[in-house]
Amino acid sequence: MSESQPFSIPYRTFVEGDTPRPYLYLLVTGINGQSGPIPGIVDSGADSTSLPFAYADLMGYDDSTLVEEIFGQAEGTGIGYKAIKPSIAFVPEIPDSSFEFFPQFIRNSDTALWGRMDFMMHFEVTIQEFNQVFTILPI
Amino acid sequence: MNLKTIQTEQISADDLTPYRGKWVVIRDGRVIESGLDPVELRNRPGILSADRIILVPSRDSKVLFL
Repeated sequence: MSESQPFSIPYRTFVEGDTPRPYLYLLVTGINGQSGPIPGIVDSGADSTSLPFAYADLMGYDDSTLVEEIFGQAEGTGIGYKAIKPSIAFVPEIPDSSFEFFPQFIRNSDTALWGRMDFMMHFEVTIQEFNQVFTILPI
Repeated sequence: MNLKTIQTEQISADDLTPYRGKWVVIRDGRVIESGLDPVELRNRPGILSADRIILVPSRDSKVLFL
């Protein structure tokens, strides 16, 4: 049986001086066939992957492929739009790590979050906060 | 198996402070375009499929989703 290769990724910031976070680029292909890399935070507190709402247009989603959902956040509840058709994502450096996911698009969000029930079903994740590094192991 | 380090590059070599809350197009680590509508950005002349179109967070707020 072959053993999976673990990968280490250093924390990063968008803007110098911001809090370093476990950002990971995934190469995402939407239902319109358009692909692009999205930097998101690996977030064990997110049930599933969520993206800022404007990504819906980029990925080809519209009213016919989204359903409204209530989601919970630290400040209470909000409205999200859950995809009913899957997109595809993979870590660019691990081409055979491709997986389908049903993104949730959140208004007033400006950060992509890679969540437990999709991303973390395909990767074992270890956070080393002290070292500001995280590791992913394809499952 | 040995640990392999990936994605060591910064999000951008440019300071993204002026672009908070906006979408930017990044090529070879540098910002080449910016705007408020990512689809309009993607359709601008000269934008390549390999370019990164990303949203710069509007602030350094805590991220707490459940």
